[in-house]
Amino acid sequence: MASGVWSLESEACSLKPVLVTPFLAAATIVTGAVAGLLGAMLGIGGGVFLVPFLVLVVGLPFKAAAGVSLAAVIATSSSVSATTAGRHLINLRLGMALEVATAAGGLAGGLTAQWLAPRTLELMFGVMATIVAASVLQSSGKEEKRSDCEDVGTLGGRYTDPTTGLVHCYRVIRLPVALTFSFIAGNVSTLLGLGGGIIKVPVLATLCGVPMRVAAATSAFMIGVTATSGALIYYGHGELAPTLAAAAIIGTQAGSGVGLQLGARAETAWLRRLLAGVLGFVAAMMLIRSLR
Amino acid sequence: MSGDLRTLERLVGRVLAVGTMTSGAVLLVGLLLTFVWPGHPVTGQILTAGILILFLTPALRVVISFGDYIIEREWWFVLWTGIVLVLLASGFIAAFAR
Repeated sequence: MASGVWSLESEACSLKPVLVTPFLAAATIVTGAVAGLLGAMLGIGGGVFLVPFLVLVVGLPFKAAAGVSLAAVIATSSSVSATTAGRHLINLRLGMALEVATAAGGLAGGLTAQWLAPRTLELMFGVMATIVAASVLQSSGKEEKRSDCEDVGTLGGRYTDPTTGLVHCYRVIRLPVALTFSFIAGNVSTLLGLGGGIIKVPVLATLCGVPMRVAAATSAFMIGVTATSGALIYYGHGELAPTLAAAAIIGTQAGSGVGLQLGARAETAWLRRLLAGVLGFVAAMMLIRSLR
Repeated sequence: MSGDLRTLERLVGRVLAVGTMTSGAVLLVGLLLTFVWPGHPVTGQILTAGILILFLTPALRVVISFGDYIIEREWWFVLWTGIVLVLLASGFIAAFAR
């Protein structure tokens, strides 16, 4: 607990504005573009790539990195959903229902983050990314496909697979599970500066009967609200560096546009392996840092 | 029914597209001014405006869905989106009223 007090003091010192040189701005734009690209392809916000860059490369305190990352995550969500809306990939009703849980979790997380030491947050980030990487690899190729279009329920739906052109129908099962994990996703999202899609997408796809692509599009759609509820808390505490946020946002907007084009053509199994690989690497980097 | 759903989806998509482009453009101007005009208070205000537009974009699409569910008389979804709106509104007030 003593470390908590110490960290509050050190945070206050480290909140002096970082000198943003044109080079740093350019590097942040490029990283944002990569995060937006991968984020759009995988249905996650891309924060899982931005946070490590800002902490490990730029040397930003964890909370400042999380704030910038959350702002970029909002940008990814909005630009991805602007494109996928109207393609029947986003399940608006399911998104709205789960958003209650993610937004509540997001606010709770933002308030908790203020009391946790940066080292604790880094450790949590590393553990989180490891668990998700493992679970994503495990669930490879186990996609449930229902073709019964008679009764999809209030939250179910149908969508056309962009790679095969086939129409798939699905029912949403285990809604309480989806709600619980959405709350956790919202909480982790704000605490760690992520979109939270890395939790929601696997849960929706493997446990709740939602096809992978729909899960990804719906999660990306919800993330905007989740990240906004969290980013507002960072903003209110003066922990959102506006210049770096601007650079990261401009980058993610450009990257997510390209990522969407690629993501629609890529195979889901390949996407999962890519996600697991990147997560494993990022997790290792964060764990090494927090345990150093 | 499915026609209405598509209209809502399209409207939401358009709001997100306009919000994204506006905030991106404002932030780009702000970022460039930071280097052209370092330390000038206007650059900070432009960046804040861009970030506010970014935050308001997802909030606005919840407002639109809320209105749509009222018109459609889907009370469960009115309740759900209403709760999300209250959560977001309290976040905005806490962040910007300081």
